[in-house]
Amino acid sequence: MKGLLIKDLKLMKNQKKFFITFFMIAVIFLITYENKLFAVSYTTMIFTIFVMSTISYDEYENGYPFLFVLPIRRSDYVNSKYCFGLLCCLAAWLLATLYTTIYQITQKPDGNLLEWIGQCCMIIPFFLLFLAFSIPVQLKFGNEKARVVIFGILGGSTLIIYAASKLIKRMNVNVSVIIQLAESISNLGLVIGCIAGSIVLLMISYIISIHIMNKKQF
Amino acid sequence: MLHVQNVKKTYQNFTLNCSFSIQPGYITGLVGENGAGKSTTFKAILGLISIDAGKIELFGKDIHDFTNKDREQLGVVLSDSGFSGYLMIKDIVPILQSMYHSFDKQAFLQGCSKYRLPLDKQIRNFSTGMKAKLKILVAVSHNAKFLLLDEPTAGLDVTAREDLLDMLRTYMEQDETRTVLISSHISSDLENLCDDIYLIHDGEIILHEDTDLLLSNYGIIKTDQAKFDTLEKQYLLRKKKESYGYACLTNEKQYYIENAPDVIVESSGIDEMITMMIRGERV
Repeated sequence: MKGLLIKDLKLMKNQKKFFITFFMIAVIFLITYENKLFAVSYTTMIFTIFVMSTISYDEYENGYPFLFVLPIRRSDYVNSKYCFGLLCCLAAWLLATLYTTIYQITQKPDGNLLEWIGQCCMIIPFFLLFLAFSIPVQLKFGNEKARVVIFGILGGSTLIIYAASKLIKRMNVNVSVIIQLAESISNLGLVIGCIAGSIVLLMISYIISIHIMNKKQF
Repeated sequence: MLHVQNVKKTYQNFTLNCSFSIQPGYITGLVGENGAGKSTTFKAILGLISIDAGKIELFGKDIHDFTNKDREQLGVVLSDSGFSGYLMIKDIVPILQSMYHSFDKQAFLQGCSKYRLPLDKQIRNFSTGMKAKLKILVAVSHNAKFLLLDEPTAGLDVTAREDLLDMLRTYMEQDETRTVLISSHISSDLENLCDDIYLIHDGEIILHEDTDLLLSNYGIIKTDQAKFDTLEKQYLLRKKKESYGYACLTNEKQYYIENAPDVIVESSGIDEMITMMIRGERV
């Protein structure tokens, strides 16, 4: 797996101009936008999404067959993608949280730092969910089809949520109990719960990805 | 070294159904038309596709039981696949170093220098010849016991092909137990390189012969209809109707030179052998 991680890091290094450009854009967002959390989300997203690009680069010009004649198992490949995705996501989040926090301190020395870091933590589960969802889809359908499938699933999910909310309204279901329950959970509990939930989904996603790769024919 | 036993793989319009063996220390050629099943055979051996039936043993071990360490003993060139074009050679070196315990970095870099392959240029910007040379250099860079080369010379000019064949000869000279399975469309490459040749057609092996015997004993007989009728048929493998009568493939060229002086007997190269075996009728 080490060799595969080196490969992905080298691919990332070869795209350094792209990352520098997007990092500069993130800094501009930080300075000009009122919502500073956007800069953290943006930076984390750019790096996390790169794991999908590495899968595309592996696929480029029918690269998969050669990759799987190297001394690696198919599960090693899946492991490397999840490790690389998590590394990128957490490293980018740390970096973004660090520079935005420093900026916050210099701009508003009396601001509530703990609350700010809590807000930053709340975005981690979204990116873990993104990885859990995107990696198996990308592995199963390849670069081109995966985009269509992702948009299809997102559109479908939105429709289902919309229909469910309409149905709940029509059936006069009392949702205040659920809202009260959510409000009763502390912020820390919410962050930990969301991260734990997304880790469980990430593990399910990993098992699905292993199954997809083991079935794949080259 | 390699035993492929009754391997079957069925697609919608094609079925691979073949058995063959490769001896240690041999360079064996696999020839056949486009779509005959050469690449499918390579993919089956390498575990890139599942097989419907049969067994493939390499180094005395079922390929399903292959570990990463076993895979380190293989050097592979695939005609249509290689390292990502977004990588450079200088990126590949640490990847190979971490994957192969026996990776010879110095020899690899010397090879790159010898064949003027730039270390800091993305592979997608390499010429066809440069990509092919890089693939071979990677395959021979880690002391592999067995090379599987699927069309390594495809699309190359004469000098690039000769460079590649030189690399292979050098690789074989270093250790006489090393083994190569190579497929190619260029018959002259195989004639000069291979110890024996398998011919695959419609997914089945239809001929296996030592290259020396193929070049010395096989011949094409050209005759008119009347002489063909009286010709001894025992050593004829295939016949093909021509405007002048018949062209026949024999594996006993000398017999006909001595016993049928009134027919034309020409030496057969691999190309003629393939054409006759595929296009000709059984006698």
